Amino acid sequence: MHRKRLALRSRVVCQICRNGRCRNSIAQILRVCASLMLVSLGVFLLFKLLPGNAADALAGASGSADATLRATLEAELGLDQPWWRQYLSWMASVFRGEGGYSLIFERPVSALILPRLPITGLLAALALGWAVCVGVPLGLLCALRPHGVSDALLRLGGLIGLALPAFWLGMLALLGVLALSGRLWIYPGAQAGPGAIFAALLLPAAVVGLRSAALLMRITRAALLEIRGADYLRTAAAKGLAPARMWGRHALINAAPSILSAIALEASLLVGGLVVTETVFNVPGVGRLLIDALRWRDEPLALTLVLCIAVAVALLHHAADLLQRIFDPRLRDSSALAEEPLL
Amino acid sequence: MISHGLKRTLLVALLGLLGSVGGFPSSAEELPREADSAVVAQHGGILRAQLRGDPPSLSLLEEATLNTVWPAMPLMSNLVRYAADAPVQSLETVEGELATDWRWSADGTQLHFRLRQGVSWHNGGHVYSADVAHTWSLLLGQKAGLRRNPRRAWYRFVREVRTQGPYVVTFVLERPQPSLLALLASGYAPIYPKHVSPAQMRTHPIGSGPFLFHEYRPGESIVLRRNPYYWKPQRPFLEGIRYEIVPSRATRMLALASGLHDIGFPQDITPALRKDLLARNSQLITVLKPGNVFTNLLLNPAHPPLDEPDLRRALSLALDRQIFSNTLSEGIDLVSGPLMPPPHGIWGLPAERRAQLPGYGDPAAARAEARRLLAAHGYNAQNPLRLKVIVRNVGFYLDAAALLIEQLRHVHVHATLERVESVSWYTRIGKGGYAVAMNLTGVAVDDPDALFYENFACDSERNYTRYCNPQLEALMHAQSQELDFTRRRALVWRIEQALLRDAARPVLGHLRAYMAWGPHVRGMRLHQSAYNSWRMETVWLARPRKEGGIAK
Repeated sequence: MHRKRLALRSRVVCQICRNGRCRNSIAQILRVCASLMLVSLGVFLLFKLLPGNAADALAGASGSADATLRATLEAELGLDQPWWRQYLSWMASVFRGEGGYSLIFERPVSALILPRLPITGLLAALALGWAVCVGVPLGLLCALRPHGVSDALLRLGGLIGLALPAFWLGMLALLGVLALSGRLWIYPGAQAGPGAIFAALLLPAAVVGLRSAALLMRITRAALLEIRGADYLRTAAAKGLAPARMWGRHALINAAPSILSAIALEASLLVGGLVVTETVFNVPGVGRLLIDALRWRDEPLALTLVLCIAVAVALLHHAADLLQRIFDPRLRDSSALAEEPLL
Repeated sequence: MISHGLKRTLLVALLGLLGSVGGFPSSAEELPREADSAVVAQHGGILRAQLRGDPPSLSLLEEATLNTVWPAMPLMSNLVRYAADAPVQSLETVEGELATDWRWSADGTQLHFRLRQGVSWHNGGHVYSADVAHTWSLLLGQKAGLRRNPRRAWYRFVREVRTQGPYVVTFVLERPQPSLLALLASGYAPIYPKHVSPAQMRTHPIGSGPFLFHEYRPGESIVLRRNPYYWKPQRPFLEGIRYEIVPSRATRMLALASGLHDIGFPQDITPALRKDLLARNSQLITVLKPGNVFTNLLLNPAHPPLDEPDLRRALSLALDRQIFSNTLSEGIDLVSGPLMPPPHGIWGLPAERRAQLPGYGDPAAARAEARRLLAAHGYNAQNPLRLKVIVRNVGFYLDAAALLIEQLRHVHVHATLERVESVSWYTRIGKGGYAVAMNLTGVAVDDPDALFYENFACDSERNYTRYCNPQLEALMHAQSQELDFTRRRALVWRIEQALLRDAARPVLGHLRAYMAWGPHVRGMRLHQSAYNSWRMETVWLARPRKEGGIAK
């Protein structure tokens, strides 16, 4: 049975390609690239609208209000060039894989971002993983006995989780762990080794993932309650299917598309929470670097970071789209479905 | 009904009472007490110090922030410096560092230094007089390379720096300036190697100081390690220093209280934070010091109606400075003029002289005078003077500005607040787009030349309001050339009194704050300026902590 289903799936994938799905995928990738180009241009122009630039920041750091010094610095940093030339020059360096040269830190942007990407990536993955592992089962638990005591308590907990600001929760978690263990749970520095860094990221991941877990719990509950009275579930129950199998196997899979959308959206929103949490737990991640880049008006650094985040968000949404198509046959090509039903 | 004056008196009395029972530190408590004078200093260990943010660069010649001075000063050496053990920095406490001895020419226009021989740069080669000449050719603008030069005004009377052989160097001045030696002793006057570009000094500084630059990870840490070839035998004691960059102040305080970090960032701890710190860890040593930074108002004379000197004076008279100190810092900030007042500073006006100046005596009387001046220009309760106060969008400034607006209301001045992003603050000030601005001014050296020529001379780059008084400028030059301390101080007091009367830059007070470190950190010495005390060669750990991460 299982082997037959796998064979069916692979045939569907082949057929999708034959039916021009590959072309569609390429078109979609090109659309994503075009969106990223537009994002880069839009962010660049928005950055130009901000008051002040890196020359102002540098002159200000030495307490100077001298217009001549500012003009000299602008010329030295290339900020006196026409905006389109600055944009093209930055884009060229992005395609070269450098992302420009940081105006403040005076080193290639890639050298600043690359060491931080794994840290933020790991933190985000842990936070999201934690949110999914906690939020989805709790949502399922709520849906099993809606309006019961456990449902009410969990929903109240979810509401609190959504309402708590990350910086406050982070500080509370730090204080709590300090009081219990006498140890301050902040980032230990690169010299501490990968094991210690991984351990140090668990608490901030739990803090930043709490909001996502609360949201996923509510969305899972709502999605499951929506399909609770569906015919196929009633039939399954009438046939004597065990509740765990019925909910886990059939209901959850059918609720998966909306949960996946929520996960993808939450992953994009995670960036905001990461900035705050990285500051409280002193994690040298991408979020904090972005804040510094904006504070110093370090254009190449800020723009490349925003572009990296945009790429990550685009990839996440693309992955969520693909997963949704796997879980929801209605989203696939109708011709392919007409020939070979998936289930 | 209790009058405002009585309320203030009662408040001051209450604060005094609190101070006497331990709520606030007495002056005796301001000095670090070390019972370990007989203990032999131990070598080894890595000091974990806090840094509140990434420095704009590591080049001391180009920066004007503690974020650079604190981690970069241990890398460098000056010709002369302030003695670490002297409680107050002054010309009398200047000692040789790279210079073994020095002498002035008879006419006071040449200062000769003899250099220490055999001092090595961190990347090899020796320190020669050519390096000293190279440093001042950068500072005087004779050589390109520095992106910024914030202390150019200090050396306005230095014509050139001549070398006479590899170990003798002479500063040639346009006219006598005894304070030059005090300026050369600042943390902002290190010697740069001729063979290293100023651009490299911003990212990977090479010096001849007690510590070597090891690594800078932006957003994470700056690591220094012991210089095994340091010229002073048996120094430094520490194996290395790791400056951990912690932007969140709450996290910094917890890291300090939990013992994760050994020493806090200079000037970082308010009285409220100190109480919290000591409640968590009573073993911590906290020291209250001024940083030679004062809060002031910029009153734009190009912005009508503030082009009227009387109105600027009226705004200055409206300020009750003690209330600012009590509200913003629980009373630890010092009511003062622009020069640091005694006993911390050696040049500022003593309290009894300052009290005779307008705005420093009875606040009620000063405000009555302010109302009279405003009324003479047609401003009263029915027709208040309407102004805009601009302020940096940072917590401390916002609190002070809110208090300022409240105080101005007492003299029929209705001010509104406009927040300006820090990045465009000086651009805005430079363009003159303001009426009143709340400002902070830091001076690296407690010396009149540093303060006056940076901020109040007609052509100073940092004279933001373009205040210019030729008679006063003549007095500034006179004090700058005066060799006798008493006569010079009398001139300085006259200048300070004139600046306060003119409301050139009304001062709210000198800031003070605490610095904290663990009981196992020994040999820390603080002075009245936060910019000159961080060579760190005398610091040692009574409980050395060995760590990885600093590879030889």
